[in-house]
Amino acid sequence: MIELFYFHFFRNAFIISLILGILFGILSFFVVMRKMTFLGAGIAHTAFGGVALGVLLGIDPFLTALAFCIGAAILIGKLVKYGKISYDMSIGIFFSFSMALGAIFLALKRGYAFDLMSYLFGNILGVTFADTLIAVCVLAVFMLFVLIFMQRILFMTLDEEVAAVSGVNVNLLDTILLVFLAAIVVTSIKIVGIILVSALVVLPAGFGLLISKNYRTVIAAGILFAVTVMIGGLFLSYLMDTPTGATVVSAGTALYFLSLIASKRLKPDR
Amino acid sequence: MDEVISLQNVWVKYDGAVVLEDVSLTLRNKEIVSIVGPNGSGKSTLLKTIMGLKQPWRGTVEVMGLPPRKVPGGTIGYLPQRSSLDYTMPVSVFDVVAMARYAGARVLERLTADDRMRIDRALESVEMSDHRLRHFGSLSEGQKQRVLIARALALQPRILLLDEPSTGLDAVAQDNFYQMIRALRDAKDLSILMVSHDIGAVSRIVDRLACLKNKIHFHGKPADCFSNESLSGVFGKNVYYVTHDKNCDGCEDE
Repeated sequence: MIELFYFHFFRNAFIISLILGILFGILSFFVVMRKMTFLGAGIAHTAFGGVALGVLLGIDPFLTALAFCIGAAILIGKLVKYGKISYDMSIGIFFSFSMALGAIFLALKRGYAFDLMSYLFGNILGVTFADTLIAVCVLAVFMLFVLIFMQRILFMTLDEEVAAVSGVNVNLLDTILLVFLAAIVVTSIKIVGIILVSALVVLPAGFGLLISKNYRTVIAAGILFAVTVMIGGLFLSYLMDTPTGATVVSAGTALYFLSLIASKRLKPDR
Repeated sequence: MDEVISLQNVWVKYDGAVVLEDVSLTLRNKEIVSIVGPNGSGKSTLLKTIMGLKQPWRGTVEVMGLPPRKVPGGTIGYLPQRSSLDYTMPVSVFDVVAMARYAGARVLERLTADDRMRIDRALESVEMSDHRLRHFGSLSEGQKQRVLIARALALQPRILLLDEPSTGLDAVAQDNFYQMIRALRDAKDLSILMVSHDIGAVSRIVDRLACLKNKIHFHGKPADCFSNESLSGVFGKNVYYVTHDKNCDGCEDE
C-alpha cells in the first residue's frame, strides 16, 4: 500500500482527504445544529452550474464553482427574506435552476469532451498540488474563524433572538458560515463529487451526536469520523477499484449505521 | 434616570396589519411591570420592539434614553418563549450561561476568572450551581427557565425582559419562579418587564400591570385592574379572576 505514496496524485489526494476530514468534521456540527443540511445539498448541486460556466468560458471551473456557490448561498437567504418563502423552497428553486444552467452551458460548449462523471462523483486523478494548497488555505482561514467565533455561533444556534439582543451579529456570522460552506463544498468536489458531498455535511455530526451530549466531544468525534472515512475510503477505492467519492460516502454511511446500532444497544434509552 | 424604558404612541405593523396601536408605556428603575393579554394581542411584538428587533411604524421607543439599536449589548437580559429554543443542542448548563459572557465585542473567546465568577454567581442566584455540568436539554422545564434567567443575569443587565416565563410550569414551580424573580429584582436592582397571559399569577408580584390587546386598555396597579372594565375589554366578557387565599406563600405582603 505504501507504494501508492510514490504517485503525486495519491499524495495530493491523501493530504486533501485529511484536510477535508477536519473541515467536514467541524463544519458538519454547525450545519446540522443550525438545521442547514438541505442548504448544504443545495449549494453542492449549485456547483454544477459554476463548473459548467467555467468550462464554457475557459476559466478554471474551481473559481467559477466557488463564485456560483457563494452567490447561491447568499441569494438563497435573500430570496427567503424578499419573497417571504421558506428556506426549503428557496433552496429547491436555486438547486434545480443551477443544474439547468449547467446543462445549458455544457450544451453551448459544442464539441467539448467534458468528463461529467468526475465532477458529479469525484476523481482523485484530477487532484493537483494547487488543490491541496487551496485546501490548506481554506482550513487555515476556517480554523481561525472557528477559534474566534465558536461560542457566538453556538449562542445563535441555541437561541438566535437572544444572541442578537446580547450583541451577536447573527446575520453576518450566518453569511460567513454560508461562504465557508460553499468554499469547503467546492474544495471537495474533485475528490468526492457534487452529488455525494452533501453526505459529508451530515454524517460526521450525526456520528458525533451518537457519542456525546457535549459539543466539544461531538466535534472531536465528527473530525475523527470524517478523517477515518475520507482516508479509509481513499484506500478502499484503490483496493476495490471503485470511484473514490462513492466509496467514501458508502463507507461513511455504513459506519454511521453500525454506530447507530451499537449506540442503541449500549444506551437503549437514547 | 428613573425611566429605563419609554414607549410613546408606538404603532407597529406586521405583514401590513397593525399589531400595536398607539401604545404608550414606561418601566421605571427597579420596577416590575407585567404586560398581560390573550394570545395574539401583540405582547411578544412589544418586547421585540423594545429590543430593536422590530421597528415601529410610528412613535418613539427609548431604552436607557437611547433608541433600542444604539443600546449597548448586555443592557437588556432577555428570556424568550421556550418554544424558540433548540433543546437537542449538546451543551451543558455551564455552557448555556457562559454564552452570555462570550456575546460581547471581545475578539478572542476566552473566559476570564472574572467571567467564571459572574457565571458562578448567576447560577447561584437561581440555585442551579449543583446542575452546572448537566446536559441543558435534560433539565425539567422549571430548571431550564432558571438556567435561562442565569444566562440573562450573567450579562449583568439593567433590564430583564421575560416572555411568558411561566409557560409549562406547574402551579408550585410557577409560584417559586415568581418569588425568585422578585428576590432577584431586590438583590440586583433590576427593572423587569414581563409578558404573560396569566393575569392571576403575575398580579401578586408586579408593581404595575398593563392590559394589552393591540392597544393598552389599562395601565396601573394590579388591584385597580380587577375593578376596571378594561379586563373584559382585553380577555372578553366570560372571564373569572380567581385570587389566591391568605394562606398562600407571599400573599401576606399584599
